[in-house]
Amino acid sequence: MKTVFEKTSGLKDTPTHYCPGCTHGIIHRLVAEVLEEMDILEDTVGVASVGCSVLSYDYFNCDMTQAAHGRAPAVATGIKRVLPDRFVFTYQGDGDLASIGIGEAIHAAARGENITIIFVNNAIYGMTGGQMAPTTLIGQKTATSPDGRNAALQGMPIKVAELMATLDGAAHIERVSAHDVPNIIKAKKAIRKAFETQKAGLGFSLIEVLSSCPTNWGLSPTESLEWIKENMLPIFPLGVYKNSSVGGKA
Amino acid sequence: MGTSARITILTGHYGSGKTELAINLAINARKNGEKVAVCDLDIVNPYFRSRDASALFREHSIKLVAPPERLATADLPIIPAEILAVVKDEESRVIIDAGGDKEGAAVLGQFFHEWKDGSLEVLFVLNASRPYVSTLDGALYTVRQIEKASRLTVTGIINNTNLGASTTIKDIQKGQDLSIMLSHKLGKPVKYTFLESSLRIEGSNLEMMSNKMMTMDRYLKLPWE
Amino acid sequence: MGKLLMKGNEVIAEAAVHAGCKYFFGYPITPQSELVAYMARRLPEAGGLFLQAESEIAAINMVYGAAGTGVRVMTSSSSPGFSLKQEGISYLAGAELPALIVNIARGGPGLGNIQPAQSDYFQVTKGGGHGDYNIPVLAPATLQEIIDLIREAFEIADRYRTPVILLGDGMLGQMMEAVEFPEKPAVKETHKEWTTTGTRGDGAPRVITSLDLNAESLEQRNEHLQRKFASIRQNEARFETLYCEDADYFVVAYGTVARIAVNAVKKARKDGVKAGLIRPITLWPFPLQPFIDTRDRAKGYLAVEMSAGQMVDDVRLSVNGRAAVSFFGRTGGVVPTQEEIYEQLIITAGGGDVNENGI
Repeated sequence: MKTVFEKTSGLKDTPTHYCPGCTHGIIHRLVAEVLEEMDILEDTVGVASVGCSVLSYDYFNCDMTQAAHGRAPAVATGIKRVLPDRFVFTYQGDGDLASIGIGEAIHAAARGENITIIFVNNAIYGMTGGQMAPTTLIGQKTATSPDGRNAALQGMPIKVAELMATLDGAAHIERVSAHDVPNIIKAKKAIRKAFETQKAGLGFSLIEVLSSCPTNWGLSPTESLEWIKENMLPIFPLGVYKNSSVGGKA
Repeated sequence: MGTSARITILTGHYGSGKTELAINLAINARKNGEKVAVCDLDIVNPYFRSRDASALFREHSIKLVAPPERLATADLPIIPAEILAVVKDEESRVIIDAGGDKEGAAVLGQFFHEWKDGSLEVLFVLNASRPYVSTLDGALYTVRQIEKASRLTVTGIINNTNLGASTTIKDIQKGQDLSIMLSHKLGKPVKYTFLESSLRIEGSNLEMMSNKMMTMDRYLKLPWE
Repeated sequence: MGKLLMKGNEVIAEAAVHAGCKYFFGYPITPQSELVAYMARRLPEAGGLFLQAESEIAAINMVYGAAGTGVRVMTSSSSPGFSLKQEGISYLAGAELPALIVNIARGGPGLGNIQPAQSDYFQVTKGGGHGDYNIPVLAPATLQEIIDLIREAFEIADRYRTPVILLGDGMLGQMMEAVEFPEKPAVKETHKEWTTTGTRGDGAPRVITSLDLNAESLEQRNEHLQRKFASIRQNEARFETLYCEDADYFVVAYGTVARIAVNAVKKARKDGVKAGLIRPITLWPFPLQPFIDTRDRAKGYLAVEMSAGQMVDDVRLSVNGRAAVSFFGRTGGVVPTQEEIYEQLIITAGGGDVNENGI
């Protein structure tokens, strides 16, 4: 029988802990496929962060280091500076990267660290039980914004891709989404581009992936994907915010 | 001191002994009846600066231009405005204790217009037992860096080579040799060789080594000394 | 390379280079900034890498990343900055990564000042960050001793897979002394099979983590750590004694304060008081042996610190109630004088204890 689909060697056999309808699993797979297709799994060190993806080291089939909350870009810097010929990536959520770790992320970008950040934005703290994140939308109800995020009280959501693109050290910054198949295909291309950017030694790359959280949003998987489209896309427009000159279309 | 310059600026690699020399030069000048001011411009070192000898300066009626006492140990790069008054006072000998290396010397750059017409000597204090200035290349590089940062030209060298309490005649000789080589490179004289007075150094040829041998007392001591 | 006159901070840096440390991630803070500046100049010469991080927090996490690749790596700071590193140090301890962290302590709490202090003793010896862990702490008293202890620090770090702290005060960092480096740096590198450097045909992927979700499993992990700490306690305690063979009264002091105390002890001896000095070189593990050797005949111990009384707790635990323990300390950057220590020693010898409450 002809095999039309199989598990990527970029992932271990361990079943993931992600909830049904959560797009973390898809994003993991995209990263893993890119590592496999580029044949760099054995040359890669990934950095797991703190958040729902804290156990990503159980899933990625490459050397992994687990970092303190928000510090993954600093840990990745330490690894990359010792091993400049290895591929180093971090996998971080919005609480980890955009809240507690915004400083480390900005400075890694400013230094032009030749690393890749996979930034998963689902507009909420998943791990700790649905609290407000820096990317929570105005009006969005969370455990810590029970009446909906109020700009006067809790400020405005942070647009990470736009922010990072202002830094001269950033080589490739792109926002993609995992809410439907065409966008997932685009997301994979963006992730590939980020690793190609790193391979070419061009500097910092960050791919922001809009992601779902059915459990904390209180929506079914399909409703969640629809919610990304309806609510997140207008606030977090998709696109290339900084384009590295590495070959291939973004 | 036999110097004709009214203003003496002490520069050098940090840890070369500028502060101790500033204290000694000031006390010597006072002993000659001169009106003396010491300006502590060391924004590099947090400890062991001229300001730490403020009681000593008071005792010798030497004016100390340094940050006010309440800020003397602040982690702030304070340059007292009073330095301008002292520099312009034609009656006063002025000894300027700059911080080490180009970082310390950069502070001098802001006074470029104040002393470009004055009677000025810029002395490079050399301790050849310090890392990075123990070779001719290293010492020369340090001088050039200091000159660039301070917008001044070094006019003379002070050999203050020592290893603290473990100083031997060989160390001083080594410093003297390096000073002379540096002197040839720069086309500037070795003004003095200093020897700490408490050191009991064997060797009667010290005098022969340099006719500009001076002894100095060490004032900034560690609590167990 | 012969003798050089160097600043304490420079000696720490150069000694680390001699010990095979090629990576330094730091952030400036007085009074240890010369260390950072020296490394910025020195490491590129030595084929290594210096990187100024955006904060102490980032610096310690860069160390964590680099340590995971198996190289010798370090960072340094002073008290307020050291506090910021505690999270990272706890992770290093939990993930069992070797690294050297230098604390050139200054007056506190809070921003305090930039004068010398020993008031970070609790922080460095009792864990400091969250969780059950200890970290070997080395406390040199002379600049020459720094050279030996830095080498040992890296060896201990590799041998036990643990971060190691070198604790000095601002005076040690700023003072100058003649030092001599060994001609040929003898670097004992340990083979590390646990590193994450990319598998490169070297078997299954490896993971560095301190996370363990299962209670029993994390307990086992903690028991493993405790066995390691017990082994460090047994093998790595270091100390020096002076005049202790026949002494009645013992001054206990570490680092620069021990050097001041030596003179007080000598003066007391001249005045007929049989005084001795115990100088812990490792603060954790705190050396028990010199107290076991002396506590049944001692007439008293006097702990002297540049703190409000921290090491004195370990002295009391070591003496275990078998002799009186008194304390003398100065804080806020005030350095105790030889005369003050002498006076306290005489009071101790006279049976008085003016500092019963450690104040």
